[in-house]
Amino acid sequence: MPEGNSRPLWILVVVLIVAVAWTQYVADPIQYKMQEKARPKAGGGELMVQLPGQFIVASVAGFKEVIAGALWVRADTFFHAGQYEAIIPIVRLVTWLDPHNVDVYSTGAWHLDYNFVDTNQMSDKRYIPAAVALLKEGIQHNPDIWDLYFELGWTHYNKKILDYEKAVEYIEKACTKDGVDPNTGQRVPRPEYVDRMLAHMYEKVGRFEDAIRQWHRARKRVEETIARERKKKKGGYVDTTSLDVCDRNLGLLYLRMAWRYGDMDAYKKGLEIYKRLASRKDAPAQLVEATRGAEADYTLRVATNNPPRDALKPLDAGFEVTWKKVAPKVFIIKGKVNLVPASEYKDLASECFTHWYRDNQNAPPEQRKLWRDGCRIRWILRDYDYKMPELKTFSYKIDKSQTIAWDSVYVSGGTFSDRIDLSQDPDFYPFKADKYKLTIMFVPQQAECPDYVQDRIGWKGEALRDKRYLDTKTQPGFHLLRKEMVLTKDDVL
Amino acid sequence: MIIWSIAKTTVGDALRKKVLQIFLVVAIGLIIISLSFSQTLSFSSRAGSSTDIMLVKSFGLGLMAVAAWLISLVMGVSLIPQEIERRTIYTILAKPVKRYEFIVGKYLGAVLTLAINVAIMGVVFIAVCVFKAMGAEQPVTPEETGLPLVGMQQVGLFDWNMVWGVIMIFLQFTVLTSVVLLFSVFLTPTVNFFMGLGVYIVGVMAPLTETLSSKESQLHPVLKVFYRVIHIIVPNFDKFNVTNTLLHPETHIESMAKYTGIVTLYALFYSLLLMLLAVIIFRKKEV
Repeated sequence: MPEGNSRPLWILVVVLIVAVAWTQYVADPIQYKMQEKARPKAGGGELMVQLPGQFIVASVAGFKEVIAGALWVRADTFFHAGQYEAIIPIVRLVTWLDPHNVDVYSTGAWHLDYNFVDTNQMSDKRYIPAAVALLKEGIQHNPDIWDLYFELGWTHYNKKILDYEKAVEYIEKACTKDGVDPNTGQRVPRPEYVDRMLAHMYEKVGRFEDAIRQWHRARKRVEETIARERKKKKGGYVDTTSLDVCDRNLGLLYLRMAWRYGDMDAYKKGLEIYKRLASRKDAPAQLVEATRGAEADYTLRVATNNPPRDALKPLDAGFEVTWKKVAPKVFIIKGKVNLVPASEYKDLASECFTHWYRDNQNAPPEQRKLWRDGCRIRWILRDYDYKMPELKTFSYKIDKSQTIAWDSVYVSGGTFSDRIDLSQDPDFYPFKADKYKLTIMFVPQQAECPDYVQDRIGWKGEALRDKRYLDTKTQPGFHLLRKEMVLTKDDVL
Repeated sequence: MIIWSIAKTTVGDALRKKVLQIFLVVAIGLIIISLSFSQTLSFSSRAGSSTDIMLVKSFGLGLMAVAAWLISLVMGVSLIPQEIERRTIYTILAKPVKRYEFIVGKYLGAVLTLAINVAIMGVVFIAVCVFKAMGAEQPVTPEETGLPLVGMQQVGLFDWNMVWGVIMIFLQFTVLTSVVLLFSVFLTPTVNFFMGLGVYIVGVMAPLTETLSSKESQLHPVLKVFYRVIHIIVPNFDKFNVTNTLLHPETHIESMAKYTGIVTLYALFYSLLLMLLAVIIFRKKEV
């Protein structure tokens, strides 16, 4: 049987409706703020339609992250099956479903940068703009952590874009951010190597004062960490390796500034650091000997007012390059470059520290080296009007009519030679343009120019001279070696 | 006291149901298996630690949500009709049991059953998360331990946000349970199941109904009003769907406790409202 009067219940219904409306009103702004941050800011919408139906239903029904996870597991399967083409659309979808999964951005960009390789294991450079755009999108969604700034800086620095100024810009930003614990999401300090990388990069672009300041900053961070650890361990063992790494690098920077450009004040500072390192009980004998040698050299130079200027003594590069087509799309690049005869090290100031020339002379004749190898010469072959596109939004659809390839050749005994075979991968190198540009160059600041070569030619290649191919315009303040050739279609095919 | 007795009986009945036990066991099994899914990832650029952990968490939260969704629907649709079908309701109402006590007791029992199921899944899920985090490393120098070495460090073991995640799942499905309880007063179980499902999907898509009814929407004004009404009436399940926020707390959360508090009130008020409507209807119903 039905029960009595319902009026009080209806009044309660109205009260509860008001209460629901109130909680909704209070919760909405917080929810919108959170959801706004979780929403993808760019791309992906067009790809959503490619999702199988059940995925679409699941993702709109509140299981987006599950779908993202499932897709990422699938991407791993594709990776191991070598189906690289299939991975990038998944990267797009996963970052769209979960724009805060930093790992997917960095893995996706790495994949675009390195894994689309031709028969000769050369990566498809047409994907680099996509990698950059993906990382920039990741930064847009995750601007408060160091990770993707560092990735972007590294992409500009190492092997790929080779724009060191831009690399510095991104690593500088990385050095203003901290990281997060991947499990708890709690803030944790960025790794120390990020700070050290910035110091190295400042060196590469010739910003020595900035590099010195950065080494001090990096060292200070390490000092603070060690102090905390000592306090916590109350006299227990504390590893100070990172401190030594900072000291050795800063000391070497000072010494090199002295040896290369004659900065005696820097020589003194560098020596002070190395004397401190060498005075330790556990200092390696080699370090002690190197420091003693540098100290003697410094004393002599001060006494004779003879600052070293190794990088300011001209070195004729004698750069020669020949190019030959041996078959359609197959070329041989050959050449000579005076980098670097062993004799050039005889009177270098850095010798007092490295003793390379002395040790080489003392070696048995059959082991004695006439050249100090290690440089690489870069070649770039591209459509005449090719300019690396700057994508505003991430898209992995590349222009497959373009041809762009580059790599580097090892210099051994002052000569280099490379056979470039672009005939086996027509998808990578379609050669559809009428004209092409072949550039063969040596850039002293590139990661492939060893420190000992820079000891002779300077960070910026100041010592380099060449009658025909010296280039001082492309990068003001730097001396590059550069030969550029225009090729016709007939030259190539 | 009467309410509590009905609730206890409801819990006992529900826990004995094979189908609910299967949902629970399958969900727990899948949560554990997700541990091995994530271990297959090897091409991640950061030794996989962050993606692997995130995968375990997103799978776990998702699976728990699916299981809780099925449990609340399957259990809720039969709450009242089962009593009518078995004719046990006559025995109960013949005793000095008020109709509202019956409804409240039934709902309370259903919520307790849900709580037990979600709690079991939650404990397994959080244990799986901790297990996954054990030995996982990241290339960061931790502020707390102050290790000066560059290299890898153990990631934090316990993520409190996952506890919030489990609570959110429970809250979300208490509301769904109240929806199906209301429907079970006047609908058959099959129709109720699909109605409940429909309400849930529409509720999860609250941002969509809001967009469609907004000023910027290009829809016909009548349709806008329709979507506005839908948006207001249907419980906003999207409020509980904060997985992305919980997976990336560093990017979103200002105060998860505050938000959870407000959403708890929302779930409570909404459930009370629907329960009250169920009571009003049930009082008028000829049984």
